[in-house]
Formats: sequence, C-alpha cells, structure tokens
Amino acid sequence: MWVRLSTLKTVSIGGQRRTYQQGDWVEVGKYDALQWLANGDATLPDGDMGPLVGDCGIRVYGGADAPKLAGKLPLTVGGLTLPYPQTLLLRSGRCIRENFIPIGFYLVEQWEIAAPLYDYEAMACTRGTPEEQRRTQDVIRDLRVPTYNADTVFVRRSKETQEFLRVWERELVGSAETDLAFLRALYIVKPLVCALPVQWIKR
Amino acid sequence: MAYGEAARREAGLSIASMQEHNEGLPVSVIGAEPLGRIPWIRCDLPVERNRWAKLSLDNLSPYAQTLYMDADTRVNGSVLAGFEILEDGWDMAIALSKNQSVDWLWHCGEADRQLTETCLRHKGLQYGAGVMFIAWNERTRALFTAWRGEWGAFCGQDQGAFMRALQRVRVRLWVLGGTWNGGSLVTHRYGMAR
Repeated sequence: MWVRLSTLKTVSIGGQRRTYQQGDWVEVGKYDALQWLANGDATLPDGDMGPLVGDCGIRVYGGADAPKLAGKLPLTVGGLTLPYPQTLLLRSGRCIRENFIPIGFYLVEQWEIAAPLYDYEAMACTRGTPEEQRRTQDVIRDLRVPTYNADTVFVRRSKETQEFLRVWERELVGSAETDLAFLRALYIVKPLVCALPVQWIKR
Repeated sequence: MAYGEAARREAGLSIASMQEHNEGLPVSVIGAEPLGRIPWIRCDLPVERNRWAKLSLDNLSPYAQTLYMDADTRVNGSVLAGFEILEDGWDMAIALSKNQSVDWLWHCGEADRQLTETCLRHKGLQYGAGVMFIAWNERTRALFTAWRGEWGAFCGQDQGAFMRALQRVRVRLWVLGGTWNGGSLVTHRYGMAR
C-alpha cells in the first residue's frame, strides 16, 4: 500500500532500514499503513478511500441507486449475493461513511460479518408490527436487544455466510422490517458477527 | 465476586435479588472469604487485584453456562432468556455499554484507549462486562486467556482489554440491550462495591 509520509519515518523494507522524509512516498504493509493513517503520520493518494485489502467490492441491492464514492472500488448492482470474496452489501440509496469502508473490509478478514447497529436505545421490541415482533421473539427469545442496520453489511464469502444470506432472504419473505429479518437470520445461523457503532452510518 | 467490605455487602444484596426473581438458580460467590451460606469459590487475591478473578472465570466457574454479575448489580426479573440464548448455541451474550461516543472508554487510561483503537482500527463497540452470559467451550476459554493477556498490559479497567481480546479471538457473541446491564432488568449501582 502506497502512502505519503506526513512526518519523518524509519521504515524496514526487505530487511533494510531506511529513513524517509516528510512528503516521501513509501510502500508498506496494510497494518503499518492503517496505523500511520490513523495517527496522521501519512496520507493517501487523492481519491483513494484507504488501504483496501484482498478482493473487495460493493454490491448494491434492492435498486440501482449506487453511492457516489471518491475512492475506487468495484461496484455491481443486482440481487442479495456475494460477488466478491469480501462484499459490502449496500441497500440501494443508502450511504456509509466512506472512511470506514476499508476498516469494515479489514474486520471481515477475521469476522464473517460486520454490521453497524441501528441505534443504542431503540431495541427490537420497538421495531416493526406486533406480529413481526412476535415472529422475531419466537426465534430470538428476547426482544430487549439492539437491532443491526441491515442496509450496510460487510460479509466475507464462506459456506456459513452463503447460508446466512439464504436464511436472510427467507426471513425477508412476508417481513416489512428488514432489520428484524436480519436479526432472525443472525440468530438462526450464528455467524461470527462483529457489531459496529451506529456512527458508521451517514444519517 | 466479593472482595472487601463494600463488595461483600453489595454481593449479598445482589444475590438476594437474583434469588427473589430466579428461584432455584444456583449462585456462587468468588472471594477470599466465605459470604454467609452462599456456595463459596475461594480465590485469594488482594482487593486491588480482584479483577483477576473475573478474568479467570474460565478456571473458577463451576457452571458450564455461567452468568457473571458484578457485586453492585440488582436483578429485577427473570434472567432465563440469557441461558436460553446460550442453549441455542451462542458462546456469549453481553450488553452494550452506555458509553459509546465522547465517553468511549472514558474510565480507562489514555494508553489503554489508544491501544484499543489501534488494535480495532476504530473506536469499536464498548460492552458492559459487569453482566455476561458465557457458555464454556474452546472459543470462550481462548477469549478469556486472551483477555487476561490484554489486561496485563495496563492492569486497570477491563473493557478495553475485552475489546482487544475479542478482536484476537472471535466468539459467537449475541448483543443484549442496556436493559440487561444498567437498565430495568438488571440495575447497576456503579462504583458501590469499591
């Protein structure tokens, strides 16, 4: 990953340590790049959204209203599928804070799914119709839990997550509340899911 | 967990509230001394290092499915649903902390906060580790081992260490609402056990 240094750094590349000056371009590993960017020790080339890793891409579903991103990232429009090894499933017309996108992909290198919560206070018992709440309680047992924002979900492609998508689609049938369907699917399949702060979503 | 007079008093009241609403649920107390007739798990630690007992629950708890509760909690209803969640196959169930934005890890030291943010690459979700349901298995035992290791970096508060450990050792974690810790089901008298 190429970054431009904002400060003097001594970098070990290929076993050799070299000192680089402020303004120098240097190619380093993802970990160092993320850390330096977070600390303000480096910047990215213009228009780059961050050090993306692996084969990542965005899948816009439920319509064709794709987000306008400054960074370059493969993006396709279609059904609720995982066209990339690491996919950001983004409902048509929805937005995510762009600077979090590389972090989301980093997280699903370890977790199977990462998704922001919808709200810290509004629990599942306050969402959807009474009928859908009953349907949800039958599955998850207790509605005093937060819901996820199912419009923005990072997924690593695997057998488990393919199964998760299948169950989510099934739970969406007859459901007016996407987030409750998502919660039921999570509970049924039990993937390794990383809950993210609500601040990840642009409101 | 009851170390020191304040914690022992609080633990007694917490256990009484648990038994009032959850009849028949076995309860034990961890401490350096027994607490009345409550089954006692002996763990000799100085008061200032009592957090180590919580981080060693994988070695101390006699229950395959354990609900850990801080001494300064009070139970106001049935906690059965938490055990059902574990029975359904989740490794842990833990509630969100109220501190998620400007007060993120406010009670931890600056170095602890910074290390946590660096490890997670963002200010990750903060959990309240004063109430947690745990099913012991390879994953949760590995998580607790990692938690002890992370806590050893600063030996202070445990929430940053928990977040870092969770990033290293993933478990099937079901997130509970604030009702379960510091809410209407389990009230939390933060600081009263010190």
